[in-house]
Amino acid sequence: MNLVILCKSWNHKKVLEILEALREQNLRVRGIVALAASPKRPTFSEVIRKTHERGVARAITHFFSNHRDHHDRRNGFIAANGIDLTIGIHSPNGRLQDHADFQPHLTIAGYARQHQIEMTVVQDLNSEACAAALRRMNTDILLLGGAPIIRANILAAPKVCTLNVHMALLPEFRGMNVAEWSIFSGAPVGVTVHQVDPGVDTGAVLYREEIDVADCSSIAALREKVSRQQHLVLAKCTRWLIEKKLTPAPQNKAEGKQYYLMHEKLKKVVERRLLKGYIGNSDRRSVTE
Amino acid sequence: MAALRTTARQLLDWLEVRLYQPSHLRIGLQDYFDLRAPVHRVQSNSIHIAAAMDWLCRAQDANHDGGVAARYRFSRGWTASYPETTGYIIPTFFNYADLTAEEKYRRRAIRMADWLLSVQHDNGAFPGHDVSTKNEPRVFNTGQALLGLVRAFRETGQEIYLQAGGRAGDWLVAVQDANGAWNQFAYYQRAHTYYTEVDWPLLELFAATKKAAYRDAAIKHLNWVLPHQQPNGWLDKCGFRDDVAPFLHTIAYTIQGLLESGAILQPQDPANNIYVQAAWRASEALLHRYEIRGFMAGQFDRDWKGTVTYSCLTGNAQTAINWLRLYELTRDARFLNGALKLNDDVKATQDLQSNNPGIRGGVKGSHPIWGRYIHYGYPNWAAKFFIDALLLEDRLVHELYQREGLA
Repeated sequence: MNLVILCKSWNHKKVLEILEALREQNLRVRGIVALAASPKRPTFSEVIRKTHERGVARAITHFFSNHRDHHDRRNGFIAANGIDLTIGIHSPNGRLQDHADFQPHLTIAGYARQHQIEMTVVQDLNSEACAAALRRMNTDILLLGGAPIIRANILAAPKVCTLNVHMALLPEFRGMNVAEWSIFSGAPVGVTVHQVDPGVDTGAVLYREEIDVADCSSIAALREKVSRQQHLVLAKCTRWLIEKKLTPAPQNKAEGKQYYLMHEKLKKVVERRLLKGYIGNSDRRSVTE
Repeated sequence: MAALRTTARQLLDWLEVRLYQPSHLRIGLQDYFDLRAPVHRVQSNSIHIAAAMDWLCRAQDANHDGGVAARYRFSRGWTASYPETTGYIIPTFFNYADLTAEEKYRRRAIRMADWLLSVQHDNGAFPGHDVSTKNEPRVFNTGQALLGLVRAFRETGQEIYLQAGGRAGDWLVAVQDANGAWNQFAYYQRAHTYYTEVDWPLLELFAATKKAAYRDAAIKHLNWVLPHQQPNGWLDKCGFRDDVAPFLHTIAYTIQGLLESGAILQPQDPANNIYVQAAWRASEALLHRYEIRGFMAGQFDRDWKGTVTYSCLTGNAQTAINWLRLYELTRDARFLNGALKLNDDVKATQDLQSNNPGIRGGVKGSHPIWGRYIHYGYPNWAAKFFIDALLLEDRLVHELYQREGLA
């Protein structure tokens, strides 16, 4: 079975965790197709807006780091020792997420070179070039490593299916910030491995696993734990799928809701519940496993 | 040549709206560069509410008649007082007076109600638009004035307001079509589904008078509206005209009318009321659009696609109220979440520092200010809905935090 990962080229941490989890399951990845980072040259309006928002000094720093990051990314795939160092984890527009992220990280490209994994960078994950790359790699199972919504032409490329792991139990919690929404709703926290269809988190469910988050005292700790766990579960499910030990179960969309980015005022409630040691109420679920 | 003509028209437009005035130019430049107040500079709700209340007080004082000026326009400053919106501004002032225990807001609300009595037609109806010209009676405007009169009666106990409200209600019942719609005395002389916003005041009047005709008229209209809802939640005829994509303002009116009517008709179990459910379907579609795009368009088509690149801030504030009420009635926290974001969006556009009293604390019709909805203007109803939305947000978040031990 040829496994291929579809991801964003700057999503180092997530993809590297998936790659490591797959390696622990003795699964070899055939290739990685990554979305190229394409920082734009700022427009005059953007310069004015950033200056208004952040003040002159911070705006200059912002645009400078954006520019420097652009060059690092372009050159970052080529390093003498095979391990690429970047100056931090960056969002697509090149903005530094946090000063705490100012530490070296192994890049996806570096890992791919180390482990002889073919890597292709494309400008659009829904493009024909991306579909062609997947066909060329003879993809059987496509694993999503933090990709945007994938269209039908890409979903048609793998011979078996496309898999995604979701940070909550499906079908109840679709969408974004779902670990937080699970807690806000008083439901158990968990992860779900599902096949990907053109909808948002609506594909057939392969496996769900609850996670005990009583030891997580903040949203950051919660996300860290669920994120780490979800990659292990994805790798485990990939192996079970290859061994034909899993049967996909279609979702009933009416049993769940789509959630969106959570507002800071509601996150306070989640933080509070985590601080008190959150234990989800299984009765809050509308489906049984 | 065409480009030259467009530029000339643009220049004339700018002259008309007096962009050469520093306070106007400042707003024009801010909007051109989209310089909304950054999140960290948005103030607490109480500061934004107080600024908007001060703006409404200045709008009331602009004409010395007790009514509230319809809007501040870049072109000609404050306009004449507007019965329709003065009507629904009355409850906002009573609510704020309760919150702050400041009697001056209560006195202002009563002055507004007294002014409404002075502009009521003999047949009980209220005029359309502002009082600068002699305007025909209008169904929608009468409904909104009615909301203020019923509240004034509840607050003061004075029968004169209820009697005026009764005359308005009788007129609304008399001019209703047999099928429940209002074609006569309607905007553009055609029936609209956003007249659910007339049903709600009629039900408030029924609650105060127990006269069944008001409730029956409201239910008849609500039942005329329901078949206009499409499977995707869209409600046909929810705009001023059929050939223009409706403003969020009238979409939100439609939803609010359904929601509040349902809540009055089935207070024990509002979540299962058919009108509340219709409001929920439309609101969920709108919520999805807003959350996915991170932007609320000012006009929508029947597929809930935003057809413009500006925001109708009045509609944003109204929608926030609807979502907050839906959260309150159904406990679906996604609506609370969306409303918090929408309120932040509007707060970021409110100018708290301008030297111009027509701008400071007011809420624009559109963002950017040249958007189609009340372009280059600050309508009083935008400030009113903005205050209502923030007051409701504060109450619901406080209740939530209390339950969680955070307050």
